[in-house]
Amino acid sequence: MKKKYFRGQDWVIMIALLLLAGVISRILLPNTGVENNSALIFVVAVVIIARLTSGYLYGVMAAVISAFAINYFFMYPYMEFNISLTGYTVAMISMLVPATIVSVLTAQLKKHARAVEEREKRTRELYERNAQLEKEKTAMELESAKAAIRSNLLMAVSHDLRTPLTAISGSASYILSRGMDGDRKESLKLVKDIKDDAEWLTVMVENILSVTRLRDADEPLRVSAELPDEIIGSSVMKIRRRFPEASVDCELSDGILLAQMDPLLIQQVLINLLENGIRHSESKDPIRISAAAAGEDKVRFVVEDHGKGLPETIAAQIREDRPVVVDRRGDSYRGMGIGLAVCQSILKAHHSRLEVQTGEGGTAFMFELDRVQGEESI
Amino acid sequence: MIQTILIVEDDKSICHFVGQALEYNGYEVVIAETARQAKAIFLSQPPVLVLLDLGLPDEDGMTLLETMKTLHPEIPVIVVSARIWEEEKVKALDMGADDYVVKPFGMSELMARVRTAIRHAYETGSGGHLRDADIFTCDGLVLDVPHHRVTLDGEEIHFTAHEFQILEQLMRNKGKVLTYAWLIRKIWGTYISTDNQILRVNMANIRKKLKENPASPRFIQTELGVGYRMIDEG
Repeated sequence: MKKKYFRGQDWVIMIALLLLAGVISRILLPNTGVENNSALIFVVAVVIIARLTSGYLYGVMAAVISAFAINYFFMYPYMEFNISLTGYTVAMISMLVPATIVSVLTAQLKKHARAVEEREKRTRELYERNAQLEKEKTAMELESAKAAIRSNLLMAVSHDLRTPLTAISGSASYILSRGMDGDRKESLKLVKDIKDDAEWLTVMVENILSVTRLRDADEPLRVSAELPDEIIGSSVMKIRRRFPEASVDCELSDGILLAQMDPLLIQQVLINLLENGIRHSESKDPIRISAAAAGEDKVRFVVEDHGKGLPETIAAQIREDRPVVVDRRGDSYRGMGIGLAVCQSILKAHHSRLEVQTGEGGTAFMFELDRVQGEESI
Repeated sequence: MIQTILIVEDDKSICHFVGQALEYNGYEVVIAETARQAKAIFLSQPPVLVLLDLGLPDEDGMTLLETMKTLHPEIPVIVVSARIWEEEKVKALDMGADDYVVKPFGMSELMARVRTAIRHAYETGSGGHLRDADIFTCDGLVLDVPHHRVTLDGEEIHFTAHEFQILEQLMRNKGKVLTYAWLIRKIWGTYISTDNQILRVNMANIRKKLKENPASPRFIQTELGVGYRMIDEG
């Protein structure tokens, strides 16, 4: 760092302090008689100047000026120089020495302070860089987790979309080629297949959109205080529209229960879990769905069927909190992997996770959300 | 009298099957594929109802909705949208849309919405004065505004002032989705934040008092992320 030797501020300090010393000496001179203290006052001024200014220059300069000033103003004969006086050299030296010492000390002190400051700045920079790296690392990890979900989903989608699309275009082509001559009953059945497959595609698209919504929101989820009963009710209504023959038992909460969530995403989770029970459990017993307070700060959702239980590979994936990937050698589990993987990623975004208990007697899926303590009545 | 419905939609297959279904149900159908055509038809031969797709080639559907509601606020508009995010539904409803359906929609669902919207427009427009009435009924539920009385299947139920007001708004607008923001503004005024919690708690209480099962509601239907709708049994 280049030092600036001539700073206006330092000049001002020097001149002001010297003038002040002069004024004080002038006031004291007639009152102290033979005891002339002006030298002492000037020494103090020089020391202060050396301390307040940067470098040696001002202190030394002040010492020289002081020596002349004392000689001129405050030593007999007043208002003229008398260089022959023996005391003059002593005064000069006694000014210069402390001025120089203080200047040096001050300079060292300042240098030291600057070094400390520099070190602190560097530490802070290092710390900030470290924090930045840490953040980037987390972002990268998150990104790779998302990428895993994405590629798993893409694989599942390309398989699960192709099958119904093939069925739809095939059935439609067949009906068209037969024209009006075809068997009416057969055609109607094919049309019904087309409708079923199209509805199935709709469900798939909704699941995919849910995940897009998760990825879009690099900002945290937009959660609000919702009534689990409303979410359950709405999910059950939607599932009944698609599976009119399915039987579902809702267990509603007694008091007023509120939970923090993105309502549409949690509805998607419940619909997927219900659909899983209806399509894959191979049981006609009613599926039970409920939400209840779990302690002071959680709400626990349970979707339970009485079917044949989950394949162990899938159960293990859920228990170990790994994205569900279904081994697709047959179409019997069509869509199951996507449904459950979407549940997992939605719950993860809610800082929760999917839990499962499965066996001979059936499968229970569970998850917890943050409870909101609502006023009982307003 | 034949009732004309204006379909504003640029997708030919959708126009085709919706048009067929509406004609089968006794309506006359006019199709506009652009906002410009839609405005011309809307002004020259005002329909009884508009089915408006929000994704149009030449103009934002929301802008067209605003134009239509400024020109003829009494003509009901049902918004058809492929975008499933509820923000858009809320926005459309707040801009005056009478209802919305999301693609893909079922034909029976669409027909029910169309019938409800047309009947409402008729009731509120010509002497029905539904909105100014004092007593509302829905299934076994009777709401007597001047006497602040609610009976369910003949039995009186006590409601707090806020609960009563919510119920009153829902019944005044039977069949129509009332958005959370609209309800909160109507009941608590503008000073309250957009926090929906207060509405949720009141709603939960209303449902308990009406012995509603949210999975098969008799009166109040939840439109998640959007609002509430009083079921129109007619």
